[in-house]
Amino acid sequence: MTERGEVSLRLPAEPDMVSVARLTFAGLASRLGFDFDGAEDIRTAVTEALSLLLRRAADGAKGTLEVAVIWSPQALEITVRHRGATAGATRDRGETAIAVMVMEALTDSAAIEDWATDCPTVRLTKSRLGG
Amino acid sequence: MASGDGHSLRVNISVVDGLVVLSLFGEVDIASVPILQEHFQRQFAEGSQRMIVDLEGLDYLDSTGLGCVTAARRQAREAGGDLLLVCTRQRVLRLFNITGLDQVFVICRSVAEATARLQGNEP
Repeated sequence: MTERGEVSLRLPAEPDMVSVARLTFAGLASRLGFDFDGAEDIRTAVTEALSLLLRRAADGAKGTLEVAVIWSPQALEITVRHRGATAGATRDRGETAIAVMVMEALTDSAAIEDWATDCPTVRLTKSRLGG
Repeated sequence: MASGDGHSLRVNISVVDGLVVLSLFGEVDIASVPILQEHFQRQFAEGSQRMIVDLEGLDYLDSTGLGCVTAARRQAREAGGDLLLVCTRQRVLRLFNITGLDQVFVICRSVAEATARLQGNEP
């Protein structure tokens, strides 16, 4: 594959769509030369980001999940957004803290942005250097 | 593959030496976790307080699944019972290690080991 490029995926903001993104980006990571563990890290981090955004949403909330990946020889930059999101009452049993912990452990950086808006975003970076 | 409505999680229930064992197959994520929650609540409603959750058949577990299992363990312990895990799969264990939940759960290498622990036959 080319040294630089980008792929983006738009999905209905529904829990069933998370596995679609998981499969897509695990495949992409593998194509980009990540080993099994690296590809697993990416698919897990993307899953956690999507689940985090969906858990924040109100029951029945619509909108679109967007996952955009930009890669260079050095790194993958992954942006996960929930466009048109509506925040709901929290039903958190500690999963948010766990999700952040997992994303931080499996990537080189993980940041949550615009959490209180209708387009909350999670940004992840994963180095390609050293697999 | 699916338990119920097309999700990629299947839950088998069995009884080993009088203890309920929930064996999970497939994936636990935000889409399939309601299936697991329903199984736990059914077991609690039927009076089961001591149970074993076998993760050996799982291909994937995310933070939603970790939260669900943690909540079930808490409920079991509040009722005077306990919930032990069986898992040797490194990818699944890694999540427990990252989150520190490996220090919270008793994670056994086999159902037989978990059964012995719950029955007090093993320290």
